[in-house]
Amino acid sequence: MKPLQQENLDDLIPKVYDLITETKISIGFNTDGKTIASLSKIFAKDLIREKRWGAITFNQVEDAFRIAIRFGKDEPFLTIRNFYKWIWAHKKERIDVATYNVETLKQKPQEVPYYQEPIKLLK
Amino acid sequence: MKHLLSSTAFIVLNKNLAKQVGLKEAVLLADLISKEEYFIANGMTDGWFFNTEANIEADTTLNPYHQRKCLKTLKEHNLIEVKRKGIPAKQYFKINEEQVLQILNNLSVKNLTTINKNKEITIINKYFKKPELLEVKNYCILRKNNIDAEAFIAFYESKGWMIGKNKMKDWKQAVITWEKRNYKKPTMSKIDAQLNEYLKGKEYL
Repeated sequence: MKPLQQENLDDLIPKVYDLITETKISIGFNTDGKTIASLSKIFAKDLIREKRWGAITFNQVEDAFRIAIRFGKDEPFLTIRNFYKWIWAHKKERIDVATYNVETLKQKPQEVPYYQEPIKLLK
Repeated sequence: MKHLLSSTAFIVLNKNLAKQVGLKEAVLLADLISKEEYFIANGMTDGWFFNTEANIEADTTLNPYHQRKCLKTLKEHNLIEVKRKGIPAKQYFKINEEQVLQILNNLSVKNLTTINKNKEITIINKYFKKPELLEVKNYCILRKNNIDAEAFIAFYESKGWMIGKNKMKDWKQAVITWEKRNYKKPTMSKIDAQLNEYLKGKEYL
């Protein structure tokens, strides 16, 4: 596992494509493959470029999508804006809370859901 | 065009036809055509219909003797066919449409466009003949449409060769309709379609 900023774009695009396709099928949309491919390319670049999410990994992005589809308050749509919302909500509501619980409240990392050992960014 | 000679309340007489076959014969033919129209409207498909001497007399004032004479002339001109069948036997008639049209065309080519306010009159064959299985099969093979000819025949046989409330006029057109309908129907399941889209999309990555 490595932070998104360290991912290779060519490796990341197919992974994002699979994730968005899975999301599409889960929410019962009929978006065509070409559109998904375009979305994947844009979103993969965003994931690498974006710094506001900190050092999150791709599996955390997958968690964000999975939870948003199943428990999100709004209707899920396949837009970059929505993807951002889902990741941001996941970070704020789960990852940050988990980090606080482990690092400040000193809870056991194994018992805290969504907690992931921090990965240092390569310089 | 033959139907122009028929009418329910009137006898429409073609002068040229009367010249050719005789006045009484033309009257009888017009009456028979009128009767045929009635039978066609009531589902007659093979062209044979019956009429009684009494009925013809009531409609045309021709007594049985004159009727027989006229029928003989009409048969000689090959304009009608007559046979007796059933118990008790009834007289059945069949209008030889092609022969009637041929006579009308030969005699009144100039008149063809003068009828009905100079509108062009299209000659339509009103008879619908049920297709044979082999005919439908051959037609489907010709069109390469993969339509099951047996299913087609069985389907329309069960409905009395009706399309909705109307009698079928052309089975070939019905085959084409089936062909188009089949073409529109998606044969893929939803998940197959999704998978196809997935693979297509991968090519754009």
